[in-house]
Amino acid sequence: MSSTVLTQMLVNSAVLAVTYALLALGLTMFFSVMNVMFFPAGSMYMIAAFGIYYLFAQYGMDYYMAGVITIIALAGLALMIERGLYRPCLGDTLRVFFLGVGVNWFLESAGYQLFGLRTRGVPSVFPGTFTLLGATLAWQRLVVICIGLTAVVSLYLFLTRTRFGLGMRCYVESPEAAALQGIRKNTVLRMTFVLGVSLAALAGVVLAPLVQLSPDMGSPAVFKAFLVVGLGGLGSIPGSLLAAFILATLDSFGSSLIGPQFTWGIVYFLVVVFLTIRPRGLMGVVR
Amino acid sequence: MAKPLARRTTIRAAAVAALICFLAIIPLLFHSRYHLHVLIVVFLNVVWASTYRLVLRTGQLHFGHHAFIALGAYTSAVLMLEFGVPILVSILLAGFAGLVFAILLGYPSLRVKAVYFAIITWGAAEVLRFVFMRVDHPFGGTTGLSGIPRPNDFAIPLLGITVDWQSKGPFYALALTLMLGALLALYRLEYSRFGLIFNAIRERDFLAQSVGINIMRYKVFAFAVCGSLASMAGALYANYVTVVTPFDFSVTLLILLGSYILVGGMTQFAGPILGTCLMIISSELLSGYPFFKMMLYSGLIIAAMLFLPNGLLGLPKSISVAVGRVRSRASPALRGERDA
Amino acid sequence: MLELRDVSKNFGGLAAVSGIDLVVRQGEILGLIGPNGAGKTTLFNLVSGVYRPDTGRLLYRGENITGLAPHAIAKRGIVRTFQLTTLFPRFTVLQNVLVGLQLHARYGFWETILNTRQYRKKEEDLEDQAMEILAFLGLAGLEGELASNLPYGQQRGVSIAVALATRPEVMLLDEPISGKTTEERLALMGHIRQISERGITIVLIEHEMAAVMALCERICVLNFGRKIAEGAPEEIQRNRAVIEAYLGEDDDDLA
Repeated sequence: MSSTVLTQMLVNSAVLAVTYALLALGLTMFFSVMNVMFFPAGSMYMIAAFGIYYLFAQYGMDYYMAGVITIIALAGLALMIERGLYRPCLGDTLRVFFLGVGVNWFLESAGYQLFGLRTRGVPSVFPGTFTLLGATLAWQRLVVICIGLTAVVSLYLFLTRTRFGLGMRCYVESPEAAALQGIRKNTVLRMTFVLGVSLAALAGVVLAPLVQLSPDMGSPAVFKAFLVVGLGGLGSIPGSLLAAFILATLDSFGSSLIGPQFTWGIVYFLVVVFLTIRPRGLMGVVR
Repeated sequence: MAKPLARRTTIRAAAVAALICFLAIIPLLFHSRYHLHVLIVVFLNVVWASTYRLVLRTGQLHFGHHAFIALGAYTSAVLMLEFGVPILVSILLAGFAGLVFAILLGYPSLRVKAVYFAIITWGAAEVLRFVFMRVDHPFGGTTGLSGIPRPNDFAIPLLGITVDWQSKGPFYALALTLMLGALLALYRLEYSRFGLIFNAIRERDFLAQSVGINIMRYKVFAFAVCGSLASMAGALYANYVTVVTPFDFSVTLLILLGSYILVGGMTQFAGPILGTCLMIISSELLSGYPFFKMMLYSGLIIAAMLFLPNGLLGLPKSISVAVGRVRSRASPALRGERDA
Repeated sequence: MLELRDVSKNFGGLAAVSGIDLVVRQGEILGLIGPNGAGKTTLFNLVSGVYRPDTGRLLYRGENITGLAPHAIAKRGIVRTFQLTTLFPRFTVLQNVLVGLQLHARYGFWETILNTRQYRKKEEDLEDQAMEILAFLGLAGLEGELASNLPYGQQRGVSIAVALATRPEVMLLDEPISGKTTEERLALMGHIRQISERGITIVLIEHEMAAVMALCERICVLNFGRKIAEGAPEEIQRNRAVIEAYLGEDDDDLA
């Protein structure tokens, strides 16, 4: 295999890893704090991408500004969903699960209604290419990798250095102890929603210039993200990152060599077998 | 799970019997192909939704029920196209395939925690879909299998009728029979020792185990029964529409089935039946507005989860719970009593 | 009848139970006491199959039952109650007991589906058996009540009924008496004696010292996961190691 192809595949897998990581981290937040498979992350991702489409590509706003506005808007939507829909239902897993399904479906169909079936594209924010080890790579991809890494590091810092982050982690360990420390449950819940959705939205904002936009782009993405989270171990951040890396590598190399369909068929099969043998995933915590 | 009084039972039984007779003679009364078609679709979905509900009622987060439907459909199609198996036999064999698949999938995966089971079953469904999509022979790949043969028309001399497979009649009869058979089996299971055990496993599985109930055996049993019934209905579906593609049985179907159950009421046996009828009929009424229909469906699910966690049939319970909550907030004495 | 040989269990480095040798004789009432965290419930969990011991063996009637699943152990005749909830709160009292009766009920798939007369007779028999058990424990008349609606004392009674329904030979009762009114306590002690008279072996974890001393023929004392004493109630009361173990606790306990 030539170094050109290899380099391209590696860059590809880095981009994919970033995508999966952002979504998976968002989902992990939801899972560790509330034991919830947060489906609406998929449609949030899709809406964010369309937000960029309309604000940046159509309206001409500056990309960063558009990104920030989109993320904030979606975080606001998340808060509304949390307050109005989720909070009354928490505690009943099945109810919350189907609520998530319903919300996701609703947002997706709203997307169909508003955006139509036609796929769109968003132009590159960082046009042009550079060469590395003989391979021609788009700057855009490099930027995505950088933003993704920054986000992951920021999340890490948030969770380990800030009061809010530590509060959340304390709550995850023991809600009672957290209450005794004065950490309010509602604050933690709100924080989780904001963080989780912002990560998904960031994924959408960042990937908009790279992928085909359509209202049904959310579901496959979130399902893959669930696979990542499941493989990594529900509720484990390092696990999700590791799994994101593994699956992205498999995806990238597999897609180039044997095609995306085959790759994912094999990947699903492997993950299912793996989880049957070791249900807690790579680094899951046995509670 | 209250036991009905003797009189209530007889009235209910009579009403159900009357309904069944009515359903049975519908094809003779109404000749509209469209209406018969809708009813056939409803009957099949009722089987799928009811079987899905039973697995959920054993406490499992089952995310792969559509795999059984797909399996049944493809098994029947392949058997008939490749091996010329007659229709009824192929349906039975499809049911058997569903049974085997359930046992193979169930034994390793029913042990694990709910969420992991969800991922595993969903993964299994995806793998199956992938296999159907990728393998051209005999599964037809992405274009699927078409031209599933209709059985030969035959005449029943005694009754003086000809069974014309081109009309909706025979399929209607088959679908109705399958649905009634499945519902009977599910009903008898639910209101028997089995149902008690399933509920016990769902409520406190460690407790059930400590009094000697082999929870794996019962979970696999429920999984297998529901899987094979769903597969049989899937096989019938394949024969009815004569075409199967891998895209027919996606997660969307699963979500639809889930919503039928939720809107109708998960705790009640008749919940999925009510939900299916309601939602399929409203879907037909709204068929001109596809996206709006989806928004309505999903809106119903959200509303159901917020306000009617027990579904429509659970409305009396939801109301009494809500009333109880209001009253206890008003009267401290009642609150004390409820804490006993 | 029930034998534990050198049984130990560790949880992440913490020895919950270590090197326990214990023999439970048929038909006796054995008390298992010790300060909080001594490992009593862990021992029950080990015997009933919830945990697998790290070392040692469990023998029941000579058969090695180490590592068997909980339902298999219950099937062989050892049943336990739990400290907190041993019932199904959303079932009625009758339904609760019926769950316990499932172990020995013989019924098949087809006769259920077809609702045969045989099946219906079996159902009736089971209900009659359930009512008998409830009557034995003085809970007759409560069968239609939702288990969660009952006062705590009666709930404990129901959980014992559920355990009895499995026709056990050995019952491991985890704190059945604590936290009840005096009448309830005396009634329950009476029931325990009656159960023992039926030939059922009982192992009792209890903090209510008065009850333990009165009911048990032998007592085994655990502390920090080890057995520190075993013998008749009077010996235990005077045993120095036992007194020291409890010095951290309320002195009234030994009264």
